[in-house]
Amino acid sequence: MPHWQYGKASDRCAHDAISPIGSILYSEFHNQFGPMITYEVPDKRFTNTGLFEQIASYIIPKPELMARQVTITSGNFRVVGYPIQIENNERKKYERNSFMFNLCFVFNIDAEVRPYEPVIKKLGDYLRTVEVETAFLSNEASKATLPVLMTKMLTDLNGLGRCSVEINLSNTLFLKVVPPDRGAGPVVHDYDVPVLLSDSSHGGLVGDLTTRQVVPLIDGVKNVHQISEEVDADPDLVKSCIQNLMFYAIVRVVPAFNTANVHRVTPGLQQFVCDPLLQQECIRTVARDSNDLPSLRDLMMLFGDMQIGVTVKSLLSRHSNIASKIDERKLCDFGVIHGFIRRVYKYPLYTRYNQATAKSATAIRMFNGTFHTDEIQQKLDLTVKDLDERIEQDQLICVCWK
Amino acid sequence: MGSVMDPLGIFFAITGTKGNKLLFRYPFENTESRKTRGINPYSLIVTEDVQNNRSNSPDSSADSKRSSRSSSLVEDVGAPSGTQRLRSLTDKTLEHIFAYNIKPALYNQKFEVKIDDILFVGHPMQVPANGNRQSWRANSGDKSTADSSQPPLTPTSNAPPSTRDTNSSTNSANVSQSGTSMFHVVFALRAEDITAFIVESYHRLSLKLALAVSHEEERCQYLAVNVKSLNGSAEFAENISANALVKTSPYSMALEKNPLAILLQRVYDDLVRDGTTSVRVNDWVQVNFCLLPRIHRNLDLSEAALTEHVMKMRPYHGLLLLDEQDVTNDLPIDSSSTLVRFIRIVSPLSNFQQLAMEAGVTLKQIFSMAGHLIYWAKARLIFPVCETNVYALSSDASTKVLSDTVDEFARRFSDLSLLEILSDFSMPQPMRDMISPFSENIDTGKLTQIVIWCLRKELLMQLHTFVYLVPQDVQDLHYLQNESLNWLSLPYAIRDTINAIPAAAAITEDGQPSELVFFMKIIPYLRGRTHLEEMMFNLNVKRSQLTTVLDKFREVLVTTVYEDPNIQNFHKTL
Repeated sequence: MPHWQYGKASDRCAHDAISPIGSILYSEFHNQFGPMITYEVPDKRFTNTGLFEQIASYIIPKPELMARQVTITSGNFRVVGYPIQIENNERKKYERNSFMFNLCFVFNIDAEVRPYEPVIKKLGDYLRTVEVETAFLSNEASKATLPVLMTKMLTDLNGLGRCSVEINLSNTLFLKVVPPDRGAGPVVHDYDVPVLLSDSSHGGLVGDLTTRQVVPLIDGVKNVHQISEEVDADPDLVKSCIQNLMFYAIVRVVPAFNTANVHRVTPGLQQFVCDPLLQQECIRTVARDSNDLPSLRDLMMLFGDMQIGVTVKSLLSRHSNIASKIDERKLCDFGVIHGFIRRVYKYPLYTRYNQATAKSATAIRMFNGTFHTDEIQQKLDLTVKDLDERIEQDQLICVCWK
Repeated sequence: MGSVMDPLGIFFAITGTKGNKLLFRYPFENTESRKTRGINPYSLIVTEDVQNNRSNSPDSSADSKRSSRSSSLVEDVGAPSGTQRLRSLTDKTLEHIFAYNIKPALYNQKFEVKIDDILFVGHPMQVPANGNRQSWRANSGDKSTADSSQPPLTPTSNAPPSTRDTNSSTNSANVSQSGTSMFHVVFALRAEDITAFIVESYHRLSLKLALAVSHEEERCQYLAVNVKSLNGSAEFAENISANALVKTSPYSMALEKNPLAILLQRVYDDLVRDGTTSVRVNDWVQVNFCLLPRIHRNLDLSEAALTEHVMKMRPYHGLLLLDEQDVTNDLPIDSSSTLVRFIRIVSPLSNFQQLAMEAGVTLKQIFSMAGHLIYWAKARLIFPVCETNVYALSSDASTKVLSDTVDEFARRFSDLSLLEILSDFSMPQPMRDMISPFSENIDTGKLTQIVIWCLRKELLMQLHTFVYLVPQDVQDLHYLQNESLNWLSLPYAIRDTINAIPAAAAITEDGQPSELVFFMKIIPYLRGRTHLEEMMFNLNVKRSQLTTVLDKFREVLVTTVYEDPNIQNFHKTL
């Protein structure tokens, strides 16, 4: 089965949406002068504002806020830090019995700083460890290497979104900025069918074992449940793997294709009209034969006639002259992926549904309006025809499309 | 229902001659039995069963019921719960964050600090200078860094004495007892989900409250009296706790008699319940606030998006009041009588033009009143309900068989089932064609009532017909992007194609190619952005005239049906 693809995956790793770091501060509690900025890279833009004096108590705070993410927004800056306090230990005695520092990232006031928070926390914890182990920060000679490291962090994190810092010969720190929407990833269902958006980009991704098994099986036909059976893995594992691939825009999920499916056109069709590249891509993708391409009007007619109540089958018979040029499965997938159309699901509702029905052994227990037919088929292992017959023979079942 | 946008808590802190104090917080816990993080900052936060803990605590005060209710609302959402989060910070720490750490240079500007997953936002307000100049100076004297950068509102000691100053000196003895130089109303929010706009909204509320308190302080020493009383409660609670086994929270004492504490509690409870609040500070200054993303149930909503939506109002649009009850009860007593009259005549069946005529005011006034109601989520922009409208089930509509909506529908329309109605609406068709398949117990009037009910519940969306000009041989559609598309700006090839259509050549008895002339008028609207109803309104033609000409030229047109993006996109529910 060939890996067919839908356009270029937008490279999410190049983090355009993430605000750049303005500068990096290293601040510590000086034995005589109290809190002060020891270093700032690339220049002294924050130091020179004098704002530090005002907010120093949030950067080198009281003990109860130590080892917590503290972000203070003031003036035109947003300062994200992770203050650390190290008590005297067997290797090192500090003049004030403890050593306090904070490596902060400074941003513009309206910056989205959430992606950087794990980085700053990791950095703080790491510096704490090297200080405890090798007195890295309290030794003036090794501390002097900090500005170089900070400059590297600033350029690499801003430019690449990741960075590796060699603190000393035996310690290297790896940092990566992760876009914030990772947690709230899209939901993947058992009945969803993953499709590859691009062939090339997953080559670079060294996936885990499941991902490596799953990716070759993505053919635009098998649903998540079938894939999980084939690789003999837990469906939840496969789902999270698909979610991960979706996060990197390598994969999208589409509804399983069937000629009885119903789609409905959305205002997203405007995007098709406005984007000539998308039009050409669509024509190339959905054509059966590269010598007999469908026209723009053909595609517009097909998309435009996708309405509730019109199955793919009836759509094709209505436009029989166009139907031969078009691969209907690719047409529907392309439309769904780019948002011109959306799948309309069929929800069987049992009008006499009550608590007893919910415990019933037959399909009727799923006719409560929360499951659509795709899901019921997959869960109960029914064919489209069986389920449709089951729904039609019962007068008490009504059907909703949404 | 709890929402991620709800505040975790409201706090009131002051800086004064007697130091910094967290005078009030809500919600609070009645006992101090909780474990704090202790001295070691790396220790794990102890996760306790909050519910059990609370049920053990004695319900001594009258307000404990209220406080536990609001707290449990907060706890419904995810983990760690709101109270649990705030628990990792002691009152002493909060005092430092809200008052002690704030240098005078940071007064009178936005305060925003995030600690782990809690975001604190407020507006530290310097106490009006006329009352307690002396105390402010006394306070700033012991801060070495402060004096060089005095906030702009501070009068310098050599300022010319005004009549106001002399007035204030007479009552300064009273004020200096409280000796407050700054007060601060702070909201604690869940940091991870909320947008910058929500943070800004809470900041605005904090500022509004601060300005009101500040005004009342200047007028009648509202702040000084309240600070004194809150300090009193704190001391009293401490005394009781020292003598008794059971510790009493100073905050519950404050809620019994302190107006400011009761006010802040009300603000918090209102926000958690409704997302809006309307209070009078000192029974005098009105503070109104609504959290737009919350009341519109759209987390990503911004004021700009809402304004844009309101700007899309057209004379042919109508207004659907979302509450079946009378909205006028919610209006402030001094609201405009025109608005009250407008609300009385608003009907989902009539458009703005008709409403303007009926109310006898200009369309512009109608728009601004409608915009106002939409802003406060009291009403929604719709296309007026009429027989030719086509409705379909909204994609977000709940079709659950067992739900409150189904029961409510059954109570409202006794002889009909919501499920069957939803099923009937699943196949889009004009409303007038829907009557026949129904049994005889339904007529147009009843169907209209049903549609209005379903629209209020956001079960239905309206579909409109949009038309694109796309001839067969066209290679690209760039002409459709032309904002001012007309006959002359069309490419030659397309004009030729249109001219070749038989209907274009048809000439009426007075020698004019009337069909073509009419079609030319329509061309600006054939970009798929204008629905049939808008075309009818703009060209002042009947539906039949329009459909006839569209049918005659159908070989160059693509007709499609979808929801109006201007109205629908806005109602993205959470």
